Amino acid sequence: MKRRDWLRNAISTSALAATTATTATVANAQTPPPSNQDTPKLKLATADAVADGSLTFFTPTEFQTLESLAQTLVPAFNGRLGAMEADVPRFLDFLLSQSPADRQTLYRQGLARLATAKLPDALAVLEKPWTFASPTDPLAQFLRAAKDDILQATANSREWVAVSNSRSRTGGGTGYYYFPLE
Amino acid sequence: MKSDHDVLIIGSGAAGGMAAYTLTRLGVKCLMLDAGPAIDFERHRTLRAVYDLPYRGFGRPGRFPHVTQASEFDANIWADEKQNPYTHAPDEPYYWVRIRALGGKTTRWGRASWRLSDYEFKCKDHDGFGENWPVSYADLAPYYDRAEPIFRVSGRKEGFAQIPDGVFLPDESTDSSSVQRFLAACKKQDVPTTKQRRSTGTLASSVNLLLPDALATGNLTIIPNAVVRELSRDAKTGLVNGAHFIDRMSKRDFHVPARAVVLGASTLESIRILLNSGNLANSSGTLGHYLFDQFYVKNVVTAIVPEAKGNAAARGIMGGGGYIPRFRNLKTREKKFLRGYSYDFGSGGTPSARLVPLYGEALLRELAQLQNTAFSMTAMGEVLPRFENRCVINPDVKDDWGIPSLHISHKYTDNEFEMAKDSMEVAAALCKDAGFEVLSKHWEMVPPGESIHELGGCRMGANPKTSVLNAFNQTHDVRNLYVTDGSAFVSGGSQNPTLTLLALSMRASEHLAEQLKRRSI
Repeated sequence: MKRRDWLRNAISTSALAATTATTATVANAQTPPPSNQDTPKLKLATADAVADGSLTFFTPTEFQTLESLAQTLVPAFNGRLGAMEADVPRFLDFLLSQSPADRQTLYRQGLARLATAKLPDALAVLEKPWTFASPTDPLAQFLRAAKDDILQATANSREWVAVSNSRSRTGGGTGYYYFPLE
Repeated sequence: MKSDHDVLIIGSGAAGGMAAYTLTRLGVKCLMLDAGPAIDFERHRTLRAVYDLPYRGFGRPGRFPHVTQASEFDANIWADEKQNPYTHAPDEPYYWVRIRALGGKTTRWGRASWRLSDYEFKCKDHDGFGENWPVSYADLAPYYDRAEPIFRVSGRKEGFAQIPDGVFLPDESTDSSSVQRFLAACKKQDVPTTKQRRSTGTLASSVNLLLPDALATGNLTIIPNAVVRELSRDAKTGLVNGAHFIDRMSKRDFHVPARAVVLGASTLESIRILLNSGNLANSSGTLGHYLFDQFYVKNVVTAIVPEAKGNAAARGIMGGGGYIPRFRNLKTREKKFLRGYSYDFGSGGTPSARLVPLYGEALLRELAQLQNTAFSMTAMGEVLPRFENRCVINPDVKDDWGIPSLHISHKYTDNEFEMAKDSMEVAAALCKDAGFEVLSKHWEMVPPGESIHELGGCRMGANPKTSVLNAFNQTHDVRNLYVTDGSAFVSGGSQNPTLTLLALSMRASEHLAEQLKRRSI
C-alpha cells in the first residue's frame, strides 16, 4: 500500500516537473490521465447521517407521549446516550409507518392509553417478572414491545455508538451486509 | 442431447452437494440444477455498521413473517416469502425457512455435527413406536467416518451410545469455572455432557467443501437459477427421463434429459417436486406424510452466574459451553413421554433486557451489573413422526414461476409438550445445583419448522407399502430416481440432522454409481 502511494507520488511529481516547463506556453492544457486506473471507491454517507426523517405516522399528541415514554424507559445514563439523544422517537415513527397493521394498532392504542394514565403507575407492569406468554392487557403488551424497541433503537443508533465507542466500548455491532442477489 | 451427463442432481446443499461430490469422483457425469443464484462472497457482501442500515437492524417490517433467523444484514439471502409462498391453517403456524442459493442452507448452518444411533435407526425395536429405518447404525458408520473429515468435525470422544463417536479433530479447549461447576452438577445427577461437535471453519458449506472438488473432476456442470417445475417420465418404462425447469430471471421454460435423477432440493421442496410430477413414486400413499422436525425451546432457562456480577467475569469465570445428549428413555422408561431431548448450553453474554423486570435508570444499572453473567440453555427435542403431519399441493397458490405451492399441516402433541416441560424442570434444577440464579424458565416451543430441521415426508423403509424409498434412498416405484435429503428420514432423534444427511447421500450416490456401472439403470 505504502509502496503504491510512493509510486503514485513519484509519478505525479515527475509529471508535474515535465509540465511546469510548458505551463507558460499552454495555458489551457487538458488534465493528464489519472495515474490510478482502478475503479474509484468513493466515500459515501447515508441520508440518516445528515438529515431528519419527516414525521409521517404518529399524531403530534402520540409523538409527544412516545417522547416522554422513550425518555423514561431509556434515559441518558453513566456517560451513555439515552433514547432522546439517539433520535429514537423519530426513528420509531418511520419504523411504525411501515409496520404490519396489528403492530401499528398496538402502538396507537398503547400511546392513547398512556396519555391518559399516570406514568409511574402505568409502567408498573414492566416491574413484574417476565413471562413467556404475552400479557392479556394491550397496554402491557405495548409497553413490553416499546421497551424492547426503544432499547434496541437506542443501542443501534449512530449517536449512541459514536459516544460508546469513544468510551472504548463497542456498541451497536457490525456485520456482513448481503446485497440483493439478482 | 446437448449435454453428455448421466445423472441430474436437483439441489446443491448438503444432499445435492454430497451426491455431486461422490458421483463425479466415481467418474459419473452430473448436471446440477439449483433454484437460486450463486452467492459471490467477495462481491455480494460487505462489512457494514448496524446504524448504516436503513432500519437500524430491525429489518424491513413484515418482510419475513416466518423467518426469525433473517436479520437486516442477511435478509437478501433468505427465500422471499412472496415469491415463494406456502400456506398453513391460521391456527397451525408452520415456519418454513429457506435459502434459495447455491449451497442452500449449508451457507448459513450452525455446523453442529452429530451422528444418529440405533436409538433412532431401530427406534421401534427400542420402544415400539413408529418404524425402524431400513438401515442400522453399522450400515451408516463407514459413511459418517468419511463425511466427518471432509467437514473437519471437531469434538471429544466420550463413548456415549446415543451419540456415537466419530473421526474428530480433538477438542482440547478448557472450561471456564462456571462451566466446570455446571458439568459437576450434571455429573451428580447422572446427566451426560460433552463438548460441541461442529464442522470447523467460518464457512463449512457445500460451496467450499463439496462443489469445488466435484467441479475439479471435470464431471460436473452447475446451472444456477434453474427452478425445477416437475420431473418427466418415459411413458413406456415409467422411469424418469429428465426435468422441466424455468429460468429464475427470464422465466424461459426448459427441459433437460437424464438417465437418473437425484433429488436433494430440501425436505419440503423435494416432496413438492414429486407431488407436482403427477404424484410420482407414491404407490404407498405416504408421500408428504410422516413429516416431522425437532422442537426447540430457545433459552429454556436463562440463569445468572452470581460471582460474575459487576464485571468480575474477566477472571475466567465465564465463557464456553457444551452439549447434553439425550438421557431420557435410554435404559429406563419415562411415564409421560417417549424418546428424549438434548441441550446446548453456553456461558457468557448479557441476559436479554426483557428478562430484567425494571426500566429506566434502574434497568440500565442492573444490565451493567449483569454484563457477561448469563448462562443459558436451549432444549432440542425429538418430534414423533405422525401420519397426520403432512404437506399437500395447494393448487390455488402458485409461486412466481407458476408452480403450485405447498400447504403444510404440522402440530405438536402431548408427547412433545411433556418433553418440553420436563426439559425446563431439569434445566432449572441443573442450574440451581450449579449455584446459578435462575432468571427465567419456560417451555414454549418455537413453531414447527423454525428449528430448520424439517425431516421426513418421503421416508425410507423396508416395506414399499408404507414408505417411498428403499434402504439406498432409491424410490420403490421408480428405480432411476433417488431422494437423498432430509425427507428420507424415518425418525430424527434430537441430534442436528446434517451429518446424517451427508452420510446418507454419500451412501445412496455410491449405490447409484454402482447401478449405472452395472447398467441396471
